[in-house]
Amino acid sequence: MDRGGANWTERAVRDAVLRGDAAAWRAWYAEHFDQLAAYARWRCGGLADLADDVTQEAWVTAVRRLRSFDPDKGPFFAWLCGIASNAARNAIRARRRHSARFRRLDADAPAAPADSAAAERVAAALAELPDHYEAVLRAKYLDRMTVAAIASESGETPKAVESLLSRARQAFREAFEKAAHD
Amino acid sequence: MTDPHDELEDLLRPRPEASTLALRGAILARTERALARLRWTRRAVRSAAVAAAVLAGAGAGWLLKPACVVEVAGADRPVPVLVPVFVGVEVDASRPPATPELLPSAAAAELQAEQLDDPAEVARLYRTAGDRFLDRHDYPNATRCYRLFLARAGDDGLTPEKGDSWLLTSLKNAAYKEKIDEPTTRD
Repeated sequence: MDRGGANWTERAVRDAVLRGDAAAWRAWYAEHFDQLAAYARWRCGGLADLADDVTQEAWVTAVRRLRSFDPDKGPFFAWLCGIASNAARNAIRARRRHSARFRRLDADAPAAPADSAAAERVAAALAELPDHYEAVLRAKYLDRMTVAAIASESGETPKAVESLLSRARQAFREAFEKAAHD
Repeated sequence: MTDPHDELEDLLRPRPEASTLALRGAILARTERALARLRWTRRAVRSAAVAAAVLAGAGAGWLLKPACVVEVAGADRPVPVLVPVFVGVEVDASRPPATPELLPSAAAAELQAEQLDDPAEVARLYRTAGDRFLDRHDYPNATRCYRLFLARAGDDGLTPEKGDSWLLTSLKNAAYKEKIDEPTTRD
């Protein structure tokens, strides 16, 4: 993927960070922190504690794997989102396994608040979606992009994006329903 | 932008931003520590690799070092070794073992010559005694013995021979001249 100057900029920053330039890392971190935190919150259905864990895990993993980041394959933020997506998937699955175990042991305990339960189902449903469905839902609902803008960015026709969005919504609904019974 | 009738809008809308100041600082500190650790690990690995390469080189050099050889001057030259060789020889037991003929000394030869009667053998012994005295640079005794040889040998002794010493040759010449001149003198 040719991204022109951004490509070279990110390569230069990556190399500076790998050489041990702390200032370069702080600048990179500051530039992307809010955006990644927002994505983590969205992926976790608004569950703050889970989102914080995912955000932290994503940054620490990014530092460890920074050498494998290749600007030719995509922007740094997309790479970060890929790491955060995996972290969110693992975190929500672990949380649901933990919740199920304690529900069985303590059946008389008060149920989680409705908002929290719904948020967990949202996170679980997003974790079950294929990457291209998750990406189009993120562009539509988190980034607030229009169909035309999504089509322009992805190089698809608006009609193809509408179709993809429709299928993604359907998959999300099914996963959300399924999550209610798990 | 958003569809007011989209039932997923409520579930998938962006979540309100919580205060992330503390989290931001905590994660930044953790990532910086991780980066520092990675730098030190890389340096340690690089140093260990260099040290391993140096040690491997030194070890290989030590292992491949040629054994200490003491150079001996002339060691490449063949050294003659005396090896006894036994050869079977048939010996006639009836004959006494041959003894090498020892050359008599000048005095012994002269003494032997005085004791023998055979003129030829006496002449030969005087000549031998003359040669021995000449070898010792005893010219008067050598001349005396040679003159006794010429007196006993007769005319045959005047003939020059290949093995004659310079003194004997000179005495033969003188005796020959004396013999030739003898009739003239008588006349």
